[in-house]
Amino acid sequence: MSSPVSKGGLLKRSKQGEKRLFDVAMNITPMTDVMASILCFLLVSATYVQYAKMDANLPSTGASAALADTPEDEQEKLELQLLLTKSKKIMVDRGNGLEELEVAEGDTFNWAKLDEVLKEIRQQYPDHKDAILSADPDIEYEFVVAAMDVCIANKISNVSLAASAVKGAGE
Amino acid sequence: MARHSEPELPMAPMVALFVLLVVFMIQFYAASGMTMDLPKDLALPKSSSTEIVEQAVKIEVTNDYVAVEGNNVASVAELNGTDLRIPGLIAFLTRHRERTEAISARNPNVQFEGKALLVGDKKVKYDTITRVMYSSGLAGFNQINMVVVQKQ
Repeated sequence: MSSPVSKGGLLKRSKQGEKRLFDVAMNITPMTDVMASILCFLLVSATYVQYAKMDANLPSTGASAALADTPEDEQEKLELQLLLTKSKKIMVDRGNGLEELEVAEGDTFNWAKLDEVLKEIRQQYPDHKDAILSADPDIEYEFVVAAMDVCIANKISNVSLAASAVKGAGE
Repeated sequence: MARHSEPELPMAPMVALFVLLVVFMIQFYAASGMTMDLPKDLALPKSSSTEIVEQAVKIEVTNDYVAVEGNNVASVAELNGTDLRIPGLIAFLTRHRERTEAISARNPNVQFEGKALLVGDKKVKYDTITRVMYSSGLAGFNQINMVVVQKQ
């Protein structure tokens, strides 16, 4: 096969004075080579996974002290706490004791029920954004992230992670 | 006598397509934010969060070890007991903080913000995560961002 060139021509005057067409085609083979190399490199090194972040806070004692100093009518009435147990139960404390949510079928937490409860809380306290999340020490990290995900979906964006609950708490 | 013309493959459409693909890939790179080299034994949890990850000190936590920027600082098997501190992690992060603060004293453009990225395997126990967060806090890294994979 001949070298791939783009056809073109240039009209020039020869020594005899007659007009002749000269072939001045540009060789695009090196450019094609470079393009193919760049494309291969980009395809191989491309990451198709999109990363995101979630803010994680440890509950600060300073915040509680500041809350205690504010007048009672300015204080938030709700102190929302969530607890994930090893037996895949979700416990919610709205300030009036731990309430156990319905357990889901299968080896997972009942995120739908938690979502329902948080929606209820949002209706009652539209400006409430804080929650403290605690879990059994043996709970896998993905479940903690999933619980935070449900909170954030319900606009409870300030989720603090408490140190691991005592082993077997809420069982 | 009949003249034989050499058969030629038209390359122009292919080159045009290559250029388009390269431009598309470069755009894709620019939009995908931070890229991360993760160890093979680390699978991130999924989340619907869409907050873009910013550059910060990377703390990797797997079921076997805790590492900062690729440097192994603790073994998970040794993390037990009531003391939540991880001495290796605290020492490494403290050195990092002091170094940044020393640079900051000479170059006001560099500031220590106490930000760290928690890159944890989804199967890691919550106990390990809280130990890492507590130790990071003790070393002055109070803004911990958990890195997750966006749900499609």
